[in-house]
Amino acid sequence: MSRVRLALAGAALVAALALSGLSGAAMTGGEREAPSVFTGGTLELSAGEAGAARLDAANMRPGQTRTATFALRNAGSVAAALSASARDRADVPAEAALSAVLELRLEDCGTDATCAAPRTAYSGSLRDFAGAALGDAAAGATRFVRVSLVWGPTKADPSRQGATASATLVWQAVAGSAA
Amino acid sequence: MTRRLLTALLALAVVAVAAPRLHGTSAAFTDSHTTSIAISTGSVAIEHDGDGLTFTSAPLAPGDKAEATVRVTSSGSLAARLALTREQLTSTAPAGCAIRDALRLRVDEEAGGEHRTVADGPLGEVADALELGRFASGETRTYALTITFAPQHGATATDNDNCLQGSVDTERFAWQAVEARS
Repeated sequence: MSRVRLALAGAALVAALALSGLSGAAMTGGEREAPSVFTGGTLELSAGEAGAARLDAANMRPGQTRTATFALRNAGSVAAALSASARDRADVPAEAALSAVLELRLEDCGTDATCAAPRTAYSGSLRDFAGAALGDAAAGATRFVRVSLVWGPTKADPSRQGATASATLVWQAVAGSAA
Repeated sequence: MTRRLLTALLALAVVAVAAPRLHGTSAAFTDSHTTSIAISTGSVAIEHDGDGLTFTSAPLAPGDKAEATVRVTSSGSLAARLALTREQLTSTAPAGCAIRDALRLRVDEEAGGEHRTVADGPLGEVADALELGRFASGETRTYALTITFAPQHGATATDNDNCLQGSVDTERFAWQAVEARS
């Protein structure tokens, strides 16, 4: 009887050793890093006329210039490239083509609201304005743009009396690189 | 009768006293030898320099990158096989899209003047555990990790990445080492 018990104990020991070998136990080590956070930025552009200036282009006549300075504020969390374009242009009557006579000037004032040393971003007819780059605005920064409408004194033409030209300026901010 | 009993007891007492002395005289030649065995366990450990993986991660715009570089040393006494593991902790999509779906991960290794790219692909498709191979005890390698916010759309009012704005993805990287047996 005791021999049987001894044999069983030996078999159990052999099995245990075999199983421990199969477990593949090994020494391990590790180092965890602090969590890495990747955040998508936000972009929010606000545009308005700076100070009390208003671009009042009513009742213009040859030789006049109307000017206003716009503040473009990047209220987002990422830097953005600013630009301007125009849409919804219309001349009434069409044959007066007032938008071809009016000169549009866009001057990039940078961060200087007084626009002491502007850079000309566009100077040409309102009709031909296709768009202009206005520089970059850091997150939270404001960039100023001076907009002028000029009716040259040499472009007087009685047929344009009572004519209207309209357009919508579109201010755009783009962050990052497009696909 | 009593006298005989006392005599017998006395004899026994004499024998009892004399016996140990007789045994003490059984001296023999002896010798001994010792062998000292010092047993120590090996170790597997990892160290990295500085604060480890610290990404240059300001809010990201499409096309932006966040980068981190770290030197990793197998500091245990045993050779080890290392892996870079990654676990996603959180992901938000406040504007409808998760930035995680737009992130790419690239892992570059510099080891002994040799360079290789361990991984390069969309974050969600790169393996959660990147095998880095066998490190000898004390071996150091440098890893550069780059997360790129890959633009998904265009830059127009109707085709843009605005739905990714404000989305946050949090990942935890870790270095794992297992004793190398081969």
